[in-house]
Amino acid sequence: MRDKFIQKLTDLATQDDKIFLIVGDLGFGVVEDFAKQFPGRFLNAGISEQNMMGVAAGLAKSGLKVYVYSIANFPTMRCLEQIRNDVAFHDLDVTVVAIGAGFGYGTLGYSHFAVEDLAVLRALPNMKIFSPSDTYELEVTLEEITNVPGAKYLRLGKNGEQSLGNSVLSSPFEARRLRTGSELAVLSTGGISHEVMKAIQSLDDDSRLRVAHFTVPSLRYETLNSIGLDSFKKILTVEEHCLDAGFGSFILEYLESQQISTQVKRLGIPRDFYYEVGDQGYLLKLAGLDEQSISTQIQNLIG
Amino acid sequence: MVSEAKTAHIGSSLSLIDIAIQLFSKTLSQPSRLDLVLISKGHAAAGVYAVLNTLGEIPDAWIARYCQNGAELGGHVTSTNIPLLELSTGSLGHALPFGIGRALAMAMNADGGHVYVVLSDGECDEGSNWEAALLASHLKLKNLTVVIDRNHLQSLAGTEETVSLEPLSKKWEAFNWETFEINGHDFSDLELVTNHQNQICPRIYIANTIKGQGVSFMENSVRWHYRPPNEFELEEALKGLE
Repeated sequence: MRDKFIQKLTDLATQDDKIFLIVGDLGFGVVEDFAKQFPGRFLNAGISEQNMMGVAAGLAKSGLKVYVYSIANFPTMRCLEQIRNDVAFHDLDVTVVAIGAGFGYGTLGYSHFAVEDLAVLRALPNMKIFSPSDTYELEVTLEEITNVPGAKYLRLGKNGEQSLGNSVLSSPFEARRLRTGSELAVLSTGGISHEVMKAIQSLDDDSRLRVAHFTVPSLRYETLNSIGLDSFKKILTVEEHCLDAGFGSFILEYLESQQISTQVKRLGIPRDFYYEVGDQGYLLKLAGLDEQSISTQIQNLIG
Repeated sequence: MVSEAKTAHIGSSLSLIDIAIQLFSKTLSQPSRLDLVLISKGHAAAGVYAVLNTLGEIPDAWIARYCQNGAELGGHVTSTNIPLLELSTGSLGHALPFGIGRALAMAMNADGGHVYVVLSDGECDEGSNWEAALLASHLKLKNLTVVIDRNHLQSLAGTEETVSLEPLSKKWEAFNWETFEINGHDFSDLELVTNHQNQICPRIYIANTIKGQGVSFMENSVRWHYRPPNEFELEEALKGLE
């Protein structure tokens, strides 16, 4: 995802001289192309997230479209007040880009996890949240949000995130339909969508036909309107984020706003600290978010 | 204003008044208005608003309603109704990083504007200022000037009793800022701040001030960091100022 992000941003920056990239001393082997092509529109702010976010706000106030790139918790938690007071309150055109959503940095441990970021950032007024599930969704999202002013959060997985298939997404403000089915709607966001897809593929033919799967690239109510969630018997949400106040909670809030009373099951990371050492796959299994666990949950729901 | 509202950081506002007069009267008198003043010590809002009122930027009616329900002006510096302030503050350590972004963009565009950031001395406890101090000098921003309102007092006690700042000048010098110490209530000193001839890097003026300046019983008193004057105290203060 990070390679695709920088590549796409570099492409966009050739056509848009307002695009400015700030990194927090991270991105070795990834950001050099941008820095080389646009030295006047690139800043390595060093290891100083609070300062970096304040500088981003100042640049944005000057009319630039500023992208602030760092790992998971650093451009989010470490400088939350700068995001809240400087960026979101003034609704400045700053896109906070966090790489390594969820357990993406696995063995590096809890300090490098982004498992509460959606909860915290989606509570901020003006903040638009984007969470593409593969590089195709990232490209579509980036192309569009470059022209959406204001405060934005772009949550990215760390890995290659293989393509989820050929289904089309014309805007990040709509859900992407990966599979059609009439009984259970499975909604997922971010890299975990791959586990969901594999889980659905592992079902027997009869079960599979009853399951629809949508990815949700932006956490806005309008994105969900295209799905028609009231036509399903049940809904399953899957996220690589703590269950509290994250993606599944967002779906519940949407359903309440629309007065849709469909039964919902949420899958996510229990709100516990993970002291175990392991890679992303290992930790997902511990949290019950691996292919097998998701598949079992789907089977339980469709009986 | 502050007596009526029963809320204020009166001491912090009075120590900043002369600095604010110098910076706002200089920058607002320029027809192009390219220069920018950022008030990082947002709790001195009453002082800033009073100065902007005197300069014709804020109507009297707004001052009369300061901190009342539904008013235009609240207890911390806000840009909501006063766009020229640009950054709403109140949490310390925010304006210098923002100012770096503004100064950097001005330099990129060769706009010719200058950015002034007013910090409190107690605010130098905040780490974000020192992150910004490193970056501003690294970028050799010659269109950025900081003024520290050095009134030597913070919320509970003196700055040196709280978390000692001295030697403050040497600290900024060590961060490669061109550093000056001035009297923050002497306009011949304050004029230096807005005269940035031959400036080749960020400059900082440590402006020695008196918290509660001008009101004898408020001067250098921690008690008057936040407390609003009652009717009797207000009368005494105004008498003293006449």
